[in-house]
Amino acid sequence: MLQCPKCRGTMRTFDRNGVHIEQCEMCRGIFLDYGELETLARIESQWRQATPPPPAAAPGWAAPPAQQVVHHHHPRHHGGSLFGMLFST
Amino acid sequence: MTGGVRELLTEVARDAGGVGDPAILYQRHDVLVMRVGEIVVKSHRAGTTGLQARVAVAAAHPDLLLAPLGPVRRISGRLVSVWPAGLPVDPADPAAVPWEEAARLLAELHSRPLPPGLPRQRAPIRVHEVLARDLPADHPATPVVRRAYAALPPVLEPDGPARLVHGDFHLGQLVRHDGAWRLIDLDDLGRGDPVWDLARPAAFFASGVLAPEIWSRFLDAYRGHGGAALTGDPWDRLDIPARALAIQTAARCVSHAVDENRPLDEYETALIDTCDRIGSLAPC
Repeated sequence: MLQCPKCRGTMRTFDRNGVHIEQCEMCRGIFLDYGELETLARIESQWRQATPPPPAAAPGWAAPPAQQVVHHHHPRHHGGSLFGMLFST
Repeated sequence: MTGGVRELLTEVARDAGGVGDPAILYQRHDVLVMRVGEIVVKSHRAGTTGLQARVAVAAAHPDLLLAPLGPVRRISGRLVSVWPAGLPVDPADPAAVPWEEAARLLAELHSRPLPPGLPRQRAPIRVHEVLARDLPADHPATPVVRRAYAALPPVLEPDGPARLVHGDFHLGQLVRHDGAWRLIDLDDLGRGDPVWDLARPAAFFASGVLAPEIWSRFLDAYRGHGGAALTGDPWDRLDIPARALAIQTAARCVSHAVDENRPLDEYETALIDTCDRIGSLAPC
């Protein structure tokens, strides 16, 4: 049994998308072996590609979805520079 | 801008019926906009040309453009125009931004007849003007913006079928007057490619700072009202104008951040990242 490096609780092994992850029963912290984070990210992106929302067409130089800084529907930064940009030349 | 110009504009506003304390609505470079009660007076950029013809367009289409109060005058060598005061879009209430109404106004503007003798719309000219100015030499974003600008085609707006174009559309160009939204600020209005009026929101969408849903709402409303700028894939037409306005906005962001002695925020950084991607593309 692995011991949690943060709280010394016991780590339990779970299987998530075929990746073994250790999660602490106490603090819920997760330990990943080398390469497992990348594996999970790849599975995640494959899932996204498999079920795309109808996307607005975008040019080749558009920000990749992961880099978008929009706050959907209601930008929290109103009055800040986003609206400064939208409101000026 | 000297205090003397403020007093002159205040006097013009009072003569037009403005009552109350004068307030400065906008001041940048040599442009000054002042409000006195229900009257707004604008002193236009030095060297402004074609303003009479542009203001005549507003007078001819009061259902789309805020109509001027009287003709443009020349006071102390500066062109001055007089307008009714309107209520701007509230920047603190993003949910209340009238995107659909803005799209409708632009779509209709693009379908109105082009009066003879109207100058070219100034959006592409403004891009060159902004990038012709010095950018902060020591800022790490400056070479990124410069490289993106260098990757633009030298002619941003090729000759083609021309329509009536606002030339500087953004959310600050909408006011509510007599219960209806109207477009204001005609200094860049003219004949040209109407796709430029959609290019600033397009640039913000492509940079990841305007939510895709908002962009879709704007685009759908524009098309729904028969907007002339777009058929088929919108990016066939939007690509270069949106690149140009992303670069122009990024240049302004760098200048503002340096003027205000602060780092770029996340939205400004997104614009610089966009410039980086544009600069990495094969030359047009």
